[in-house]
Amino acid sequence: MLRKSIAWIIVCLPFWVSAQSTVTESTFGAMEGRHIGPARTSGRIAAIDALQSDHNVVWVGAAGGGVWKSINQGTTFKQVFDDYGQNIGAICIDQKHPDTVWVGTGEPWTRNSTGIGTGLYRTTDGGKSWKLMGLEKSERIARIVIDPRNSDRVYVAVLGALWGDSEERGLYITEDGGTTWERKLYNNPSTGCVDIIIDPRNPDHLLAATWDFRRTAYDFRSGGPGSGLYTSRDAGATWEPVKEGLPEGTLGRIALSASPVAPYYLYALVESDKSALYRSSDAGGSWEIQSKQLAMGERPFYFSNIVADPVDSNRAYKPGFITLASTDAGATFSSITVEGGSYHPDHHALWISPIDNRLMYVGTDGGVYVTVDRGNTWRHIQNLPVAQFYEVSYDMNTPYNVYGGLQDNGSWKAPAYTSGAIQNADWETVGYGDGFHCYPDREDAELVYWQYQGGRIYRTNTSTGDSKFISPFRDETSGDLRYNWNAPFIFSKKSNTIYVGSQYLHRSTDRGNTWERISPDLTTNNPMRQKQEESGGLTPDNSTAENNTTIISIAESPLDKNVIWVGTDDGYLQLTVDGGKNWTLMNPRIPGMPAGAFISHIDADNFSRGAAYVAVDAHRNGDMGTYVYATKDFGATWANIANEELKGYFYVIKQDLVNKNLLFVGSEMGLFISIDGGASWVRFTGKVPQVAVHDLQIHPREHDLILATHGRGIIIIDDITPLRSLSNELLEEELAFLPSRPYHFPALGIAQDFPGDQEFVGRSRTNAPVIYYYMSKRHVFGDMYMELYDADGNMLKELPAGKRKGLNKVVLNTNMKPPRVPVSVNPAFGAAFGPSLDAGTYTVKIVKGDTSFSTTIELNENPQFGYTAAERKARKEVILRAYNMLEELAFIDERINSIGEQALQLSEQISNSKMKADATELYYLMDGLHKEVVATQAGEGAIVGQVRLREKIVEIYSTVSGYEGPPNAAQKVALDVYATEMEAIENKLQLMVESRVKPMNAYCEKKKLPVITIPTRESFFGEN
Amino acid sequence: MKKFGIILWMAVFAFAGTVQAQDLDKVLKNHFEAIGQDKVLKTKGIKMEGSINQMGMEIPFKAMQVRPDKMRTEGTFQGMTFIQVYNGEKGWTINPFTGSSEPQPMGPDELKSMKQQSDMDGMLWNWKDKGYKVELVGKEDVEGTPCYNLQVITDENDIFNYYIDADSYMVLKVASAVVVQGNVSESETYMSNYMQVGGMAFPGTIETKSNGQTVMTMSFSNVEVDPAMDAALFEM
Repeated sequence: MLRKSIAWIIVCLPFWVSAQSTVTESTFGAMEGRHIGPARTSGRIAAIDALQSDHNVVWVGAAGGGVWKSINQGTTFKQVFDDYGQNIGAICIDQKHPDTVWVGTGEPWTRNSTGIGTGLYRTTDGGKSWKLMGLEKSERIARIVIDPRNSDRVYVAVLGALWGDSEERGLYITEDGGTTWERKLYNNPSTGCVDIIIDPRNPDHLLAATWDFRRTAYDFRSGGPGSGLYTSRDAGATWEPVKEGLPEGTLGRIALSASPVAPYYLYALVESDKSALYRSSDAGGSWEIQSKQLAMGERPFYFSNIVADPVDSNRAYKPGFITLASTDAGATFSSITVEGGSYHPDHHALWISPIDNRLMYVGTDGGVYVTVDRGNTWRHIQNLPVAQFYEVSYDMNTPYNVYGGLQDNGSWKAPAYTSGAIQNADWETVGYGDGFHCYPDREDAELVYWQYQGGRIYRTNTSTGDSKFISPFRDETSGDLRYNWNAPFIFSKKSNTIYVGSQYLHRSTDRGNTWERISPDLTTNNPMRQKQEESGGLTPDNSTAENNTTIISIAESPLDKNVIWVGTDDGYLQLTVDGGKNWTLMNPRIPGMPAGAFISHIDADNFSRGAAYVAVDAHRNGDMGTYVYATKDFGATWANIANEELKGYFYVIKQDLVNKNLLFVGSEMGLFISIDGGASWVRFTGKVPQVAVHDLQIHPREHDLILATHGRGIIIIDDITPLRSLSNELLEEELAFLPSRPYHFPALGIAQDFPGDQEFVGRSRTNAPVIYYYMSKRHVFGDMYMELYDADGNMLKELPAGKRKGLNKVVLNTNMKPPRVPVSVNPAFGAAFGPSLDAGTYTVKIVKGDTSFSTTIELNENPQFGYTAAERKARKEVILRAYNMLEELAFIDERINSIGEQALQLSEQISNSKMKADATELYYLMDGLHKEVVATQAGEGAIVGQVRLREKIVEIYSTVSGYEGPPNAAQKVALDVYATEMEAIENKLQLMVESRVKPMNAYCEKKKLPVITIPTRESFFGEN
Repeated sequence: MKKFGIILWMAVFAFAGTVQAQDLDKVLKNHFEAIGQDKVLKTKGIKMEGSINQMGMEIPFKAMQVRPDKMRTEGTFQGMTFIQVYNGEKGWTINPFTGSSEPQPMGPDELKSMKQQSDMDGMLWNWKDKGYKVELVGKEDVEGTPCYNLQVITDENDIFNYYIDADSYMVLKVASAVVVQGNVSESETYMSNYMQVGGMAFPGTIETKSNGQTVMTMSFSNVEVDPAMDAALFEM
């Protein structure tokens, strides 16, 4: 299939694209993604391991969000795996060498939305660097165990492929630290190894379980002939099946556990048609049922886990919908929360401290929780931004908000930027369930639409809290409606029209109050793909997650509302050009398109009615091929514009709103960009890890690219305007400026909040204008800096320039030089910054060695403020007046101090007693004046609060500067008063110069002593 | 403020081998040639002037160093001067922004850092004699430019990764993980605008980043080799 599509590229490229570009990963340079969370919801956690000798050191593997390490029990976490695939399955610390940690990628909790792994990795330096240790084709790794006697002997339970057959599965054993691997326990191509434990009494004795399983787009099967329990007495060299006491017939998933304090018991949680917890008292030779409680059979593909307490021989835990505990060695289980219990359900990973078993970490669908009272109460770790979005949208507020739905964490909204940081409190809950599409109404910002799984759509009035269920239902002739897990629910790009896809396309022009069915069944309607009630295998599981033969993608042309594209989850691509009256199936015209795949996303071209881009995702058929199709002629002809530079299968493709050749693709392995209409692709690496990107939006006003990632929350790439100007020609240039979005002076917010270090802090965007330029090579030798000039050609300031290869970003601080202030023992922070630049056009010049490059930048008033030109002028006048007064006061003070110091020196040199006394008096007079100018009481650690003239003027300067509108009359009056006070000081100084300094100098001249020199205006202001 | 002197010296004297690994030897040899290490070894003292750009503020500064291991750094804001002095054994800081002009003695972590930075030959020079471990970790890109990654581990377990441009053999970046108060403090410094002074290469600009965000940028306007400097400057 893949080979076919590559052949097609070769055939199509000559007419499809113009030229090959030379874009590489480094082209995008300083352009970076900004992670805004949410960490409040966090996201699904697949694995946890912690240090047995210090339970404060904990490693977390997020199902879709990489590996995170904490050394302080979760108060802070650092990501340590951003350069690799983010789907994590297993983590194992080498307890003898705490900096050596093994990570198996690919989640073992095999839900419909799970991603795929990229192999087995190891760090030996605490996560700073990683080495791929093989098993690249394993897809998912369930467990890693290290021989306690020999760190080079490692057992890896490889689950293997979920969506198809694979050979790389079973138990992999290395005896040389991962250099070579031997495969054991391979039963068949659909069976993997799901768990392994080492007998605490005998490290040569192992117990391992295999699991026969398979998922398709429309079905899940847990259990089969390959499942079973095995034991080895020779450290894995040979294996025997164990059957005594276990149920006869087909087995499903099995979880294993043993405790060092009760090594005489081994536990096996066994899925069968009568799932139960089994216990062996003879080292795994035979088994007996310990508990048949219902919880023992809860969704084994999601919750198959049993954990024996490492301290208390009678205690064992069963994580599942919630975590249950047994205090009678597995006979009975009950909830561990007595007072608490405010935690997210769906528990996958549980770690219990062997030092203090009251401390436990649990990994859930909603992140990590920690308990210090054996699970009675739980603290949520709110700094792991591993949220799993399916879709994202935005509104047109300022700042604009992003909206989206999350795996098992409902629907949320948050501002894209704030005046400080984006924190947990900035995220607002909008809807419940598993969240998907979520939109603000185009005309009424108080109305928000959201949905949960299986096409259940609500419209909520956010001001009243009223929510109305608006999903279309069946009518007399439609038959029952079929909705996907993530049923598409799309707004027209131009109107308030909403489309919803079941097997039909439904349209509403009245906010979902009434619906019109505008298509026939657009799917294959294949009954073989409609047996969801039989889904699950041994344990029935029909949560709508396997719903199929439904519409999955809808796109209305932004140029013509009658042109609508529809894609289905069983592989059909359909088009209407008359608003739904007639539909044409595109499939026969698209050579190489895989059958039965998800038509995951369609992007109707923004510039041409008949053009569209289609992302096709066949991974649920076991086909990880790359398929992106494009048409220019209403689907008459198609080309696959994917090539080998694209990795992963695709969730979304988006064409830029301005440059028709700028394309973005979200894949299982990150974000990819093409600047040449799909002829070449390159991964975007600027703080966008290899995480699944499920949806993309471009904000039409702010020109931000918004990424809905399935594991790292929302990532925003601020202002993609510079990317629109990248061209092959430009990439050859030594240095080329790139345009950016229009800049408006921002409103600065006020915040005081000390939430502690456990709070997630998402960076906001800069408030200052940004200058972008591209360089073909890094600048290493010689000068390179930036200068700013006003319209009259006056140089205003010099600032450091970026020097990297690719795109550079320089943030222009719009403050001018701060005023000089009288020198004090205390800093005047209110005068640390100069006045802001005025709105207008400025020239930016980059000096690079002997050459220079220039461009202009425009700074605009913020229209949101609405202040008149006269009001802004009044503000600026007061700021400048206060600025000049501070500088003048600094000059007065300089003279005072200078005269005083010279007088003091003279007093030591003069022998005449009267003159000596005069000099001493002059010194004290000057000191007195200085104390009127500025606060002189040194704090020495204390808060002195002394206020003199300098401090008073600084307060006017800073408070008027801090507000964009006109100053208050009170501020102006006060400044008048301070001007009078300053004049009085100046007068006193002049008087003393005349009455005391001059006679003193006359005397000194006569006596050949040094005369007092007074700093001149030129000498003072001439400096700097 | 407190940190700027520390970072400055670390970055400027980021040059400095004899090693068992052939590749490491080769990289170091090329590096020392490129930066004029032979001249560095003959230099008795150095004085640099420039400005620090931090949180939008411009702070003029001076930095001085004499052999064997003495240093002084001054930065001025609103007429108030921050001073850091190290005499090879003890160190002091005057930080007027705390409302005090009294010299405060440096603690063990600061002294450790001063000792590292006061090595005019740079960490990489004669690293074995200094008790460091140096390893050529491999070749890695720094902002799109291929570099050799040389890891230095001190006997106190401070880790410095020097990223040496595979083309020019200049240090483009130093990533440090330094133990402070028993915890690890990480930062990155980027060197650019290299200039030749007395046959030696000096970075004209040093940018410091923490968590990927620029904390400050230092630009040098003047570098003097072997200037006259009063011994009293390095005592307090």
